[in-house]
Amino acid sequence: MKRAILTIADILRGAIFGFLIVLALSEMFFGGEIIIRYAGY
Amino acid sequence: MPSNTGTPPPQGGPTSWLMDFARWVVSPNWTVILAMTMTVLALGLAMFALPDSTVSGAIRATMNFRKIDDSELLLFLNHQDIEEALKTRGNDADPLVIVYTGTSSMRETVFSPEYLSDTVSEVIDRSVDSFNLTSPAQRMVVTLAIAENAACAGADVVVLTVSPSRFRFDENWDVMSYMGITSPAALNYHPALEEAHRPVWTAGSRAKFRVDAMMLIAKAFAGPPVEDPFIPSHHAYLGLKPLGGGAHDRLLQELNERVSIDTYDRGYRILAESVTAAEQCGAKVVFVETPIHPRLFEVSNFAEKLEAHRRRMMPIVGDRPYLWLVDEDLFEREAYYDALHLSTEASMKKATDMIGRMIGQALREDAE
Repeated sequence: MKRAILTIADILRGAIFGFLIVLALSEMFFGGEIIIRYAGY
Repeated sequence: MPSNTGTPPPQGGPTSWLMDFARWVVSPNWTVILAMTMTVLALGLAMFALPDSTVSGAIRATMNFRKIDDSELLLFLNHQDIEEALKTRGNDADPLVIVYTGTSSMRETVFSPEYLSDTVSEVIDRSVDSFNLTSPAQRMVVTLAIAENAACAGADVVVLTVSPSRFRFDENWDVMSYMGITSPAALNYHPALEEAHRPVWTAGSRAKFRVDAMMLIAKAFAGPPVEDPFIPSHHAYLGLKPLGGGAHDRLLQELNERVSIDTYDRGYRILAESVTAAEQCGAKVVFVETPIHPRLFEVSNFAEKLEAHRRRMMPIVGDRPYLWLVDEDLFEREAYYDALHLSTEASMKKATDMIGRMIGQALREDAE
């Protein structure tokens, strides 16, 4: 049981890292406009 | 005897929990690496599969802005409604006005058909907003293309609202260079537009682009300029807003201390260039608008900044029509009316009526 929970947690943090990588790359290339546009302005 | 194997890990307490958790978070294993890789791949693929209204669509649109081809543009340029309006108007002397905008909220305020109905026979709202384009660069390209085709279709007046502040986006500079426009002033210069859109012209044009009947609107950029080292752009500043009150307050403090009106030179220079270029290429009416963002009202020395701004603006404005444009929510804040010389909301209507009359007068003089 504990092993399954740890695996799910690993997958989740991997997904979060992946999302952050893509976001960081996008912002690096597109000047922060994506975050800005979808952050409410 | 002390151990020589380093500091022993802390035993118990919340600090050790946090440290353990932090170590776990940053210690990758093969499962994490696999999940990360799959996520990167999935998001990367999604950029090319999801609609434009999504984040990935925005990324894709930005990436592809150079790839807009004529056939795609022509889908946006159906001017059947313009031709119908030309056929059905009773008097040829009645001007037909095509109103559209790529960047401005002016369409809903100053150029509302309600205000223009006394002086023109028809107002057609051909806004780029309806095209669901997420990239500012694409929006600008399509906006300019619509302007040309509206004129080609026989529109008497094309109202073009383009904010020079849009040039703060690097990608827009890229687009302008791609189109052969090398400065903000050149954006208002017709031959550059003609050259840039020649493929679209040949596909759908029947008349010359009537630049003498074109009204250009120059806008001042009242926000922090691109060059400011702390606030790289107006949008970047606003983008911090959702971070919460603490970040917002710190930013305002910085704004008070570090940003002076003198740092807005770029905005004033662009405005002056735009006004001059508009008149040089035959604009009948040049209307100068200063958008004031609500955040600027929150700085402690706002009145001083506003006065300095007014001193910089007036030589550029001259005797041209001029309007402070503030966000709608500011109209509910009576304290700022005096500072802006807008005693009531009716002042806005008065200004828009004045502009409507000026357009009508310019059109009548043109017809004579």
